[in-house]
Parts: sequence; C-alpha cells; structure tokens
Amino acid sequence: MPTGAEVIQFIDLNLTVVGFLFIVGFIGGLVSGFIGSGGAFVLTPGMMSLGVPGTVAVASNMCHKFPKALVGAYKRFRYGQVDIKLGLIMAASAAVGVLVGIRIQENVLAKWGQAGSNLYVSLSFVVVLIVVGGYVFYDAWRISRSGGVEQVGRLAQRLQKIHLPPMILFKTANLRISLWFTVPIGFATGMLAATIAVGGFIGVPGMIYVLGSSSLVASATELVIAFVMGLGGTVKWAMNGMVDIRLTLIILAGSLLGVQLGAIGTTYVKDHMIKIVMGTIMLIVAFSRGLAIPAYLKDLQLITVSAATVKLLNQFSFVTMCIALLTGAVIILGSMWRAKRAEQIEEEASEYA
Amino acid sequence: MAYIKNAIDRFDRMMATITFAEAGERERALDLLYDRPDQANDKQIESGIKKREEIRAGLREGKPKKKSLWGKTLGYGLIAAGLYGTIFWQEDLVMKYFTRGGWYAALPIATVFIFSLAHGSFANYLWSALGIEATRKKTAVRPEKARPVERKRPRPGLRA
Repeated sequence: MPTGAEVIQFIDLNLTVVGFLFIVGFIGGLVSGFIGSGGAFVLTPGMMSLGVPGTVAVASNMCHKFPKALVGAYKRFRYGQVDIKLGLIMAASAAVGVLVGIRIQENVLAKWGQAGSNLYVSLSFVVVLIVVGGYVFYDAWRISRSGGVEQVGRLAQRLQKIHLPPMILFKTANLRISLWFTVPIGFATGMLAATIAVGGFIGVPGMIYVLGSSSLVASATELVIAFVMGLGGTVKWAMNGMVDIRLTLIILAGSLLGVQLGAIGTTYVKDHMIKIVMGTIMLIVAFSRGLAIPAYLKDLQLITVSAATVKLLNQFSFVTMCIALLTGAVIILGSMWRAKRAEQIEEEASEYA
Repeated sequence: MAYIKNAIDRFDRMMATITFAEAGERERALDLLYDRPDQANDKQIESGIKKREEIRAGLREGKPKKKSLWGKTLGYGLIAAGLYGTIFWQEDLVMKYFTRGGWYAALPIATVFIFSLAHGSFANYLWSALGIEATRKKTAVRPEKARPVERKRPRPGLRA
C-alpha cells in the first residue's frame, strides 16, 4: 500500500506559514481550553489554504488535538472541573459515532461526489450551529439578565428522575442519570466530529441541557472526549502515513500556550460566559459556512453563479471563520482582564482595611 | 537588616497616614506623620501594620518564589527549544520515517507526547511566572436546582 510520502506532496515551510500556524494554534487552543472545543474548524481549512492536501490537513490537525486536549483536561482536572467517568463513558459512544459518521460521509461521497460531500458537511454546519448555537446564546443572555446563576434545565431534571438501570452517579458533575441518556449525546458528538471536525458543539450543550451538568464541568469534560477521539483518529491517519509532524508541532507550540490560558480563564468568569463565547462562535461559523454553500450548489448544477462570485464567497467564508475565533479570543481575554483587575483591587482594598 | 526593617516600618506608617487622611481622620494622620505620641492610636496603627506583615508573610509562604518559577520556565523552555531544533534540523530524515505508515505510526504519536510534556510544562510555568494563575475563588460551580413553588394556601388540618 502506498504510504503518505509516496503519493502526497508535503509543503515547504517558510516564516509566513510558521507564523500563521502558530497564531491560529494559539487562538484555537485558547478557545478550546475555555469552551472545550474549537480551533479545528479553522485549522483544517486554514492549512488547506496554505496548500496542504486535505487528508494531511485533517491528519495533522487531529495529531495536535489529542495532546492539546490532554493538557487542557489535566489543567482543568486540577481545578476540580473534569468528570473523568462521564468523559470516558461518553467517549465510548462517541467512538461508535465517529465510525458511523465516516461511513455516512463515504456513502455521500460515493453517491454525489466531492461537491455533494462538501454540501452535506456545510449544511450540517449551518443547521446544527444555528439551532444549537442560537439556543446556547439565548440561554446565556437569559442567565446574565437574571443574575448570572445557572440552573439545571427542565429536560435534564425530568431525565434525571427516570429510573432506567444502570443508573450512574457522576460526582464532579453532581448528577445521577441513566447510562442510556449519555449514549445518544456521545454518539452525536462522535458523528458531528466525523462530519464537521468539532464534536464539542453537540457534546457540551448536550451535557448541559440533557444531562444537567454545569457549563464549567461540561466544557472541561469535553476535553476528555476530545482526547480519546483525537488519539483514535490519529492512530488511524498515522498508520496511513498522513501526519505531517512539522505542521503538528508548530500548531502544538501555540495551542499548548493557549489551552492553559483558556483553562485559567474559566476560573475568573461567571459560568454563563462560557455559553456566550460558545454561542457567539457557533453563530458566526454557521454564517461562514452558509457563505460557502452556493459554491457547492453550483458544482451540483443546482444554481448558476459566476466563478468570480464563488471565489469571493469562499474568501469571505474563510475570513469569517477566522473572525469567529478572534471574537471568541477577545471575549475570553477581555473577561479575564476585567476579572483579574477586579480581584486585584479587592485584594488591595482588604490589605489596607 | 535593621535599616531595611526601619525602611519598611516607615513605609507602612506613610501608607497608614495616607489611609487615615483619605478617611478624614486628620488628627490621627498628623500624629502618624509627625510621630506624635498617642497611645490609643499607636495600638491601632501597630495592629494594622502587624496585620499587613502577616498578610505579606502568608503570601510569601503560599506562592513559590518568582526566581524558582523563572528558573523552571527557562529550564523547560530550553528542553522544548532543543526538541524543536532537533526535529527541524533533521527535517528530511524525520519526514522520511514519520510518514512511512504501519508500525512507524508510533513515531509521530510518541513525539507529540514528549513535546506535550516539555512544552506543556514550559507553558504552565511561563503563565505562573507572569502571574497569570487560576483565581482562588472558585472552581466548579454546581447549577442550582429549581425550588418547588411555595404553597399559598395552608394544608387543611383536623380540628381538634
């Protein structure tokens, strides 16, 4: 079987490429450490825009994802935010979801070609991100108006009351629920990861609204799931020789700095801030993917659009995705700065009291 | 040492003077500034100074010294830089073996684990040395469960 080195041309590195990957890695890590997912949806198309073949971009991205998730999960575990049992149980069903998601992708590709596959991915982005992201954002806005205290949702309360063995107690998440309610969330997380490369956009809201976990624990536990999925996916890609270790290590250099900063940030902000960042990013990315849809409809000959318009839309789409990450980073760093200043003023005031 | 202690005491008195002046306690501020004898005030001031010394001592004990943090940052930074330098110095050889597939898949996986340990530790100590650490206030917050609605009418009881 031909290996990656024989059939794939790996790109030459220059200062621009290194700088771009480091910065995107840092911001992706920052967002990931804060909300439990993020960065992947910009890194893969970002690498492809530098000339990296698609499979190498996905493989190298995944190879950096699992150590970043490990470091982030460890840091937040020390803050008491990670429910390892919940993470591992959901990772088991997520692994099945990934396999099913890949199989669906292969079927769509075989039936409708590359354009059909791209359209499927983009539509999944738009639908999931608008529905889930919109609800997350609305919920965060509602909480911030009512005094900033999270409450267990009605759906989660009802599900927690249903006695369907085996019932599992998740100590850190402070909830007791049937194992069967964790399975569809984990499965959907894996499927979404295989489809759009970011499973956390289902996993984190699922843990919050379906299981009844807090935003802090949900976003921290998601890092455990990301680690397991990332490691499994990396083994698969590396066995085919698709991992460009140079790209992986450059992104890792930035993301390990960012993920720890993001993890620290979660201890400074109110819980609903995680939802605000997540909802904001999801809605902007949904808009970005919406801009890319006309190109795929044109390739499937469903609409007529000029090549220049398609090129412009694709460029806007990529820039919008970068804006999504930047917006998340600005909100996170801004909130941390304000909270840190307030804490310093409080400490100074108590010292001289 | 005595000179340093006197300088710190004097600084504390100046800060206490400013605090009393800002609070509108003019006479006490002047007592402090000109070192006028006032036993009642002196006790209060001394206890304030003592409290601030205890706070400072506590802070010093609680946090690792800045020097050791920077030392560790530099140490892990050098290790991480050395690892990166090695990979990119032998770029062609690395790419030849790391993309062979099959059992050679262990190479990129082991490499990222090693880099995560070294660079992750560097990043951890760097943020700590820069004073960016988790706040002591809270970690995980459990969401509140909605309380049941209060009964407006009292429950009917038996008449004795």
